[in-house]
Amino acid sequence: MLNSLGHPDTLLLVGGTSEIAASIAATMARRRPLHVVLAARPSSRRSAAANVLTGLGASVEVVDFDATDIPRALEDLRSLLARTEIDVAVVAQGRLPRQSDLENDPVLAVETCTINYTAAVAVGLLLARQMREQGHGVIVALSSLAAIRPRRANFVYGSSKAGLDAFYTGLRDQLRGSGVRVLVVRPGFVHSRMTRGLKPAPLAVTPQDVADAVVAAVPTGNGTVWVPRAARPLMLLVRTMPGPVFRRVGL
Amino acid sequence: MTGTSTITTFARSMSSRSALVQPSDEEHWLRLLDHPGPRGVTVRGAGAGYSDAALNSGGTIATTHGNHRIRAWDDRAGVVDVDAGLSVADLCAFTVPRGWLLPVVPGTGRVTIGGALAADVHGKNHPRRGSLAQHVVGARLLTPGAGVLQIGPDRESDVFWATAGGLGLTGVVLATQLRLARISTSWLATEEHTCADLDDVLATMRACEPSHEYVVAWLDGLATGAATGRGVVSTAVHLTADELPASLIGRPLAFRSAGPSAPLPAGPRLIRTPVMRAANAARFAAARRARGVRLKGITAALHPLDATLDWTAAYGRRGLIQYQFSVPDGQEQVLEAALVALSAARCWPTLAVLKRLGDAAPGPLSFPSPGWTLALDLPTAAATAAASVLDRLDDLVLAAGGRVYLVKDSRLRSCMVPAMYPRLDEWRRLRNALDPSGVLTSDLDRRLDLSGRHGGDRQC
Ligand SMILES: Cc1cc2nc3c(=O)[nH]c(=O)nc-3n(C[C@H](O)[C@H](O)[C@H](O)COP(=O)(O)OP(=O)(O)OC[C@H]3O[C@@H](n4cnc5c(N)ncnc54)[C@H](O)[C@@H]3O)c2cc1C
Ligand SMILES: NC(=O)c1ccc[n+]([C@@H]2O[C@H](COP(=O)([O-])OP(=O)(O)OC[C@H]3O[C@@H](n4cnc5c(N)ncnc54)[C@H](OP(=O)(O)O)[C@@H]3O)[C@@H](O)[C@H]2O)c1
Repeated sequence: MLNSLGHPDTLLLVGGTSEIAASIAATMARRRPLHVVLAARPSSRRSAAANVLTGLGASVEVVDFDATDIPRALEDLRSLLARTEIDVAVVAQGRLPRQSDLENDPVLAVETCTINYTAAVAVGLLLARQMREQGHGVIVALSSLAAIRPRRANFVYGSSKAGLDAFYTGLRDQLRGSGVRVLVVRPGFVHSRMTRGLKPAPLAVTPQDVADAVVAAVPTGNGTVWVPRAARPLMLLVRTMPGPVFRRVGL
Repeated sequence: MTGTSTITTFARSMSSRSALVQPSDEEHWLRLLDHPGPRGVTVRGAGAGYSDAALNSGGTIATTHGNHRIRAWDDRAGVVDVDAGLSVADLCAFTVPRGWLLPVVPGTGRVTIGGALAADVHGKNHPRRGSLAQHVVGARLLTPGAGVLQIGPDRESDVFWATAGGLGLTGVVLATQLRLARISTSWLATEEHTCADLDDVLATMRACEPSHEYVVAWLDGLATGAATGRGVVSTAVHLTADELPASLIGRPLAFRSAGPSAPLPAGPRLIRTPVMRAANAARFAAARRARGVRLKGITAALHPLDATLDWTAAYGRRGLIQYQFSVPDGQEQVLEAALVALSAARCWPTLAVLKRLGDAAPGPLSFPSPGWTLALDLPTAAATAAASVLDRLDDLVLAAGGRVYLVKDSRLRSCMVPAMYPRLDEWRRLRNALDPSGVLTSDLDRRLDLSGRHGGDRQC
């Protein structure tokens, strides 16, 4: 249960090795005792993420989760949800291959869409059903500013994030009144493993910035979380910009 | 779930989506416990709480609203047999004109007898009268695993004491037999003493205790520095018939309850620091001016808040939480530390009430133990920002040998419960024998893992 101050007792990270997800978990675990479930592909990275959280005093459970094997992933998550009541779930798995590789390799493009979008749909539907039954819960979906308007430079990734964003925005409306809330988080450029070696975009933030915004929104939020906040008015501008201007600015 | 509604606590800081049912008779209750659904059943009385003790997310909430009769009345012994859903105010309306009063009443008359027993409530006279369960002769308890039991201090006494303070997790209390105290009038002589700081408050309360039935202090939660903990100590004693002034002689046992209070929608947040500062200063000044004795009726003296229309609406959408803890005598520094820490965090208590506690009752989860109890109302948003301050206060309270009052809790770490209530395991064993499959639960039970069935073995 979330307590009256919005602190969860249990946290599920889907894509449990994500740096952003790890920051969210660490921020919560530093405050209070927490049970964290890491759903991720088995790897040394996953063990390291578990160790960090254990070191912060959290109890940690790991579950295998490979976003390219959806039936299997759903089965494992389903049995997790049957035994552990999840208060907050973060959907964080994602890939960002180079745009040129994606353009040259349709199989890679499809795999990226599967991880970023299709798997997120499957996980979202499963979480929604379980949380609706338990009458409470918060789903945090990591979308992106890239979801707002397709850009020449990353429209394959952008389209997968746009799909995720649309899905969770709709899911939020569907869950209204059920006791379950959905936060659609739209960070700009985040300095994480995913963007290592890339040139930081304007308004770049850290995983900790995203974590702080998410942790602040968990108690009562039910909508969109922009990180940084200034991205919101900027994206309004980007969205309404005429095409030729948008292309010339080359954001 | 189908047919569910959102139930919000009285304090507005927590809510749940639940199916709401109102069983009318014992058979209906039995059927409900036989077919509880996957997320169990929570019994709910008046819902006059600050916590999620009467919420059940995704499950069923069964209210006792349909059970509020006076079943039997013995006016020689002063023993009344009532349905668990009867409110304290309605009980008073029946007994006071007959010259009897429940010796222990909580700060609001809206609570039900079942809810009051489930919390083993205390009043402003705990050192003299103990807690509610100590005035219960017997109770009828419907359990999921052991059927209907007649329990009391001398019948199935371990089940009885597990139920007193057992937060609705041992069974459904259907009826209670209470032993009342004689009163010859329904009027109280009340006095107020202003005190310049916390030490003054504590000394005044100690001095008043031997000669006054009811003693309580209101503290100015916004006072800082040398004035920290300044407040007003209020006392009350029952008047005897020969002490009544001429104007009241014709109606020695008059009783007026506060009447029903319809919940208001949350308004704009009126409770703000400058408003509180002005109100507290005015409260203090008024008490200083009003020297001498004032006569009050039972409702005005013991349930003053009930006269104010749904005051929680003034806290806005997120409502308030209440932080109530106890500390033993000799640990008064924790009272001061709480006021100082909260004001340093700018989480000003909007209401701070201090009471004395006497000897503990035998219930393993019963809250009172000798010393002091401080109840602090905190706006939820401010408390959210000061969450870690409250966690540190829990540590101080525990180290001092005190505890947090569970029926008012909405934020304690579950790992603190076994330390604050060292007889938790004993209570769990009893509870689990009465309800082996875990039919009775609540959001409070899940959050604090009281029953030990929710895997909440977290380390602090
Ligand atoms: C303004 C105010 C002042 C208060 N002052 C005091 C005070 O001075 N002293 C004090 O001790 N407390 C005080 N309280 C707390 C209050 O007395 C308790 O929360 C009490 O339990 C509320 O009773 P209720 O009928 O509203 O129960 P609910 O809030 O509906 O339920 C509380 C608990 O009782 C259980 N329960 C209810 N009915 C039954 C039943 N028939 N059988 C089994 N379990 C049942 C529920 O499952 C739940 O765990 C105060 C509360 C308020 C709002
Ligand atoms: N970084 C940014 O600039 C940025 C901006 C906006 C939004 N986001 C979004 O934020 C989320 C988290 O990203 P991050 O910055 O924290 O990057 P990250 O550390 O690289 O996290 C991405 C995670 O996705 C997991 N993943 C990849 N393929 C997977 C698969 N097939 N099955 C299961 N898991 C898989 C990875 O797990 P493995 O350890 O198994 O590889 C990795 O932990 C992503 O959804 C991303 O799109 C990021």
